Amino acid sequence: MQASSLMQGTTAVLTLSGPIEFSSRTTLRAMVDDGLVKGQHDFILDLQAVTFIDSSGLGALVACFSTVRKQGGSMKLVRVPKQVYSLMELTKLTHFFDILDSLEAAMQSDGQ
Amino acid sequence: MAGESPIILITDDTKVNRAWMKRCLRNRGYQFLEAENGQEALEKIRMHRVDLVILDLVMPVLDGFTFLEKLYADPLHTSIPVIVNSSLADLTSIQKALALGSYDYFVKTLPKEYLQFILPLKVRNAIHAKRLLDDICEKQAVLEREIQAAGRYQRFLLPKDLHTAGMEVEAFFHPYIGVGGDFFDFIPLTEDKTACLIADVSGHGVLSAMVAAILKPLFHQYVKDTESPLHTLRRLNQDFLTLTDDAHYITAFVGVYDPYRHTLCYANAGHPPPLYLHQATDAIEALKATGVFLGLFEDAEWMAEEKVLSVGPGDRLLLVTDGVSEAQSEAGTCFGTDDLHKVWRDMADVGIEETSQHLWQHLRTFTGDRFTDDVTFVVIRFQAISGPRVLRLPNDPAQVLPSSGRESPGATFLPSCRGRG
Repeated sequence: MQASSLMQGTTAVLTLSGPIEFSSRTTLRAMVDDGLVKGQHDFILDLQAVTFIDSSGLGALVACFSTVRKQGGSMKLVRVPKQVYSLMELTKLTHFFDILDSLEAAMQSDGQ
Repeated sequence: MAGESPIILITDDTKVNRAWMKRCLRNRGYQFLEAENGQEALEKIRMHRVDLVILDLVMPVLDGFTFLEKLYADPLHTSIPVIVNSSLADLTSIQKALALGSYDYFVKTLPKEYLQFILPLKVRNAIHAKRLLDDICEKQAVLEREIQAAGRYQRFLLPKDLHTAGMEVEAFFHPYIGVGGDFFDFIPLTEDKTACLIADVSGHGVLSAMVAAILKPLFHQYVKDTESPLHTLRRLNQDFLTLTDDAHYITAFVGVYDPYRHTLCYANAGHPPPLYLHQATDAIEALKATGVFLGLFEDAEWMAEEKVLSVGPGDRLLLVTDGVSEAQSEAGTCFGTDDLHKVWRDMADVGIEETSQHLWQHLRTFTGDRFTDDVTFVVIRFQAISGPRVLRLPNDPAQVLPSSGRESPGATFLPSCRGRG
C-alpha cells in the first residue's frame, strides 16, 4: 500500500493506493498517529486508488478509526471502490464509517 | 560462546606470515590454530570450534576461493566469518572473495605499521558480529521450540470429541506459523441442542493464539448461560473490549442447532459467511454478518441481530475462516469468490470426511501450496431427530417429554452420530 497525506488546518487527507492488507497496518497507523500528534483530528481517507482490501486491511482501517475517535476526532472515507465497499457491507461496517462520494462533500461536512 | 576465548584459524602458506599475524593479535585473549592451505583449514574446522578464519587467497593444494566455496556449502559453518588477505591488490580477486561470502579483507602490501592496528580492529569486529549472530540463532531456536509447544497446547484446546445430537462434524485446522488465531468449538446444551463457534483473532502468532485460548472458557460459559448466539457474542464483545488493544479484534460466528425443532439460530459478528447448503433445493445460502467485529465498539454502539434458519434433513453447513475465503491464487484471485461455492456444491452428495479432504486438496492446488494465514474449516451435516425429546436437567434423571418439534417426512433416523476432531 502507498499512502500520502495532505494537511489542511486540522483536517488530514490521506490518499491510499494499491492493496490494503496485513502488511499495510503499520504504515496506516504511523500516518494517523503522526497526524494526531501534529494536531489533526479530522481524517479523510481517499480510497479511489485502492485495488484490493482483505479482512486484515479492513481491521487496520477500523483500528485507526477507533484510535481517532478515542481522541475526539472523526474519520471519513471517500470514493470507496466496489470491492472495498462490498467487504464493508458484508461485515456491517458501513453502519460505522462515514462514507461519502467526493472529497468536497467530506470537506464540507467537517465541523458538523 | 560468551566467556570463552575466541579461536582464530590463521590460514597462510608462509610460516613467517602466520607468525607475524599471531604477534599482531597477541595479548587480546584469543587462541590460535594454524593451517598451511585450504584443505588443512577445512580439516581443522571439522575437528575444532573456530570463531574466525584469516585466509590467504593464493595457496597450494586448495586455494582461498575454493576453501570459501566448500566452507559455506556446509550449513553448519555459515556463521563463521572469514577475513581474506592477499598480496593481490586487484579489485577482481577481492570482489570474488566477498561474493563468495567473506566478511572482510585486507591487502598484505599495506605498510606494516598500518596493518598493526587495522588487523586487530577487523578481527575484533568480526568476532563481535559472530557473537551477535550466535546469540540471535540461539534465541530463535528457543522461540521456535516454545511456539511448537504452544501449538501442541492449542490443538489440545480444540474439541476432539465432536459427538453431538443430530450433527455429523468433520473439522480441519492448519495454523500458519506454529500457533494461530483461529478457533472453533462445539458444546452440548440442554435438550440435545448443540452450540458451535468459529472465530478468528486478528494477526498471527503468540498473542493471537492466547486470545483465541481465552475464547474457549468464555464461549462455554456464555453460551451455556444464555443459549443465545446474539447474547453470547454481546458478552464476548464486552470482554474483548478490555482484553485487546485497538489493533486486535475478533470475528466470530455462533450457531445453536435444535435437532427437535429443526432450527439453526445464529449470529455472525463480521465473520466470513458460513455456507449453508439446502439439500432439497441444492441452493447455497451465505449466512452473512448480522453484526460487526468484536472488541472494537462499546456495547451501546455494537449492533447485531440473531436469525433463525429452518434445517432440512441432510442439509450441510461449511464454517470457514478468512484463511480459506481469502486464500489467493498466483493470479491474485480469491478462493472465496466463486471456487469455494463450486467445490461446496460439488461435494453435496459426498461423505463429509471425503468432503473435508477434497476441500483441502482444492485449496492447496488453488494456492500452489502457498498459505499466508491459518486455514480452518468445519463441515457439518445435519440429521433430524425424531421421537420424544429428552429433557436433561442438572442432577435429575432424564425425563421424557412428548415430542414438540415438527415431523420431517423422509428424515433419516440415526441412533448415534459420528463426529471427528
